[in-house]
Amino acid sequence: MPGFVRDAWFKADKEGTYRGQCSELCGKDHGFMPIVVDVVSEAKYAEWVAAQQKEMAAAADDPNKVFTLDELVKRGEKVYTTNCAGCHQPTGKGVPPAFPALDGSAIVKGPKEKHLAIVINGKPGTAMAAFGAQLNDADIASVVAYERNAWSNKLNDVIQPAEVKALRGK
Amino acid sequence: MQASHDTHDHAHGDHGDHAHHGRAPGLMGWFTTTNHKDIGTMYLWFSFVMFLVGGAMSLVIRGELFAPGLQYVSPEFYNQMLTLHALIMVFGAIMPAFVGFANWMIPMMVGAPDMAFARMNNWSFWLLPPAAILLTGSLFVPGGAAGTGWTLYPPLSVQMGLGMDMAIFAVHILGMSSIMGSINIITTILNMRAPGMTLMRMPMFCWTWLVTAFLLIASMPILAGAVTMLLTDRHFGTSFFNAAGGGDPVLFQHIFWFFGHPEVYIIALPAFGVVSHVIPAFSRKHLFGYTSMVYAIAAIGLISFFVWAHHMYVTGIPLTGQLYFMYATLLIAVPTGVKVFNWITTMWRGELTFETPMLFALGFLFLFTVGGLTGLVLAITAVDIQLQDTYYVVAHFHYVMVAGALFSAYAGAYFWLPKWTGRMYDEALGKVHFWTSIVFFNVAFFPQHFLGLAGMPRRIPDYATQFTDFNAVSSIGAFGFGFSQLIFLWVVLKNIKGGEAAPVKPWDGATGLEWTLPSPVPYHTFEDPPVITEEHLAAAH
Repeated sequence: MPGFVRDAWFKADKEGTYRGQCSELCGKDHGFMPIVVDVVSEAKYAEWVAAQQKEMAAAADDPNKVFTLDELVKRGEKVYTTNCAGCHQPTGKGVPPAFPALDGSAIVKGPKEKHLAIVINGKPGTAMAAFGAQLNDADIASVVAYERNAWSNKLNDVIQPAEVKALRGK
Repeated sequence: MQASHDTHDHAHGDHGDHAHHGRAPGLMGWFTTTNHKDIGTMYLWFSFVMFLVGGAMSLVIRGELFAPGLQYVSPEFYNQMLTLHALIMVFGAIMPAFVGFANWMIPMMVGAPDMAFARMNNWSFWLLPPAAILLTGSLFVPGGAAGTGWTLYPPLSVQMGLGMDMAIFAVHILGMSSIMGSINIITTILNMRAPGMTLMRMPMFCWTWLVTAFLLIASMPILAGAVTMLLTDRHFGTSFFNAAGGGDPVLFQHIFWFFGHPEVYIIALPAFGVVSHVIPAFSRKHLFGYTSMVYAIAAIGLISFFVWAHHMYVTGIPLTGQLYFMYATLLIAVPTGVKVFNWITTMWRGELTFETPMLFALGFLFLFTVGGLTGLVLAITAVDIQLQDTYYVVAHFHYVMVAGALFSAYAGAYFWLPKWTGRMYDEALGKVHFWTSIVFFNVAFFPQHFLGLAGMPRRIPDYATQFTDFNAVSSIGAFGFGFSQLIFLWVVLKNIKGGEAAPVKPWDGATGLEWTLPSPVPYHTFEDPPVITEEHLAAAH
């Protein structure tokens, strides 16, 4: 549900594939939203977790890599389109008053620590979510760098993943 | 009584003279009439037309669901059909049907010459056709009608097109009509009873409508508020239900169901009232436990305001809330059980005969109880989390809405038709109507319990193949049920055209003031208050 995270659980007595479906009328494709849960043994699950971890390690970024501005902006644009453009719009103009514009925003043009903090921790009381847990250091660095260099915000700022790492948890 | 004398220029005692005291000639007469019988007739015809329109939509739904896959309609049109089917059946068919009964019968039952506010009565009927046009017309605007289900949940309802706004305005208009009708009914019952007709001697149908009218006045403004908030969210930049603006979509569900649960009893209580007249008449006994019936109605009406969140067990309400709403919901079974017990006891050792009204009343009694029991199953939180939004719920509320409210309306229509038209209806055709209805009803809706238990969600245009057999059976039943209803139209038209003249009291066990009037009833009745005798009273003493 928008604005809420709800969880549900069930105890499976048998291994196998369990199926479900969307239950609340949510739009024209409501009838075509399957849910699949694979119930496996403890050993198989451990195997799966190990395989996933290996995959993730292979795909992970080197946290000490130093990016150039071009690399940051290119990567940041992708992160922006996936995570930010829904509210702040691809044009950076937002949908005021619910979603403020980033183009020309005081926060985007102000000190980068404050900008980074909002992306990492969100802004309580508004729709701005905390992205710290969903995006890795390189993603956050690149999207903030993108925002500070896109549209009319030509700040030429370069932000490295190490700076994000240093700010986390503050 | 003053009010009605003002509105009829010279209503004084000349009973049979239609030419001078009837409505104005032609179509204008129907627009301007303030006579409760004319208005009752218009309500009943309106509700039957809407019933056929809503029924046709349900056949689109069942036609599509006959087999898996998408055959006839697109998913978005399917959603519009299920939404309009529900809105039209609830607000356009069942509710106006019982208001029609109220208009016809309440003044005659309490010995009043007309409804208290005769001109407002006219207005509350003539608000309905514009609302019906808004609802059905929304199918033809860009984007089509609302496709959200009758519950109009955001965020989907915030995103819909023009059809949604038309549905919102239709709900506003229907709400105004209901509130005006309720004010009229309450005032008529409280102020215009004939001398000697004390509240606790009043026919049960009047009691059920008195409580229903209070439920309507208390709950319709809440629905109006909810849809107005929806409207401002859609067009005026508010964020009541929009999480992105700090709102809460669950808020809508609370407000909607705070209206929505009393609404269930707004539909059910007048149905209880009708059955409380029909069963004693054909059992040739007084209604058993009159006083307990009155208190049961009042208790149901009151408790209905405190159980709304049993529709919302899976929205994340706290455990204590789930427990409270579960027990409160189960509590309603107590007064409802009292009523079912009293109906059965009324029949005990009675001299039963089974004319069509009695058959429909018994069909009501049996199938409404089935629907009530599945309601108890759904009230249990742990079970409901499994069954939320499945076909089990669909089966449950069709048992209480169709076999409950609709069968009761048919019982009432066959029961009072001789009084209205002055002629007996075709008993054989009536019985055919009953038996086809009850058989096809069960063929249509009983398999849906199994579909729900097997996990088929509601409001889907296509389904997994393991659900095919029961869906096919259900569709056959639905088509059979739908076409059976045309038999009723035939019976009524045949009755209007001709038939054996009805005596003053065609049912020998019937009690009440309406059976002291000639058949058909004259245009104006009880201009002088009647003398109430024991044999007129529905209450056992």
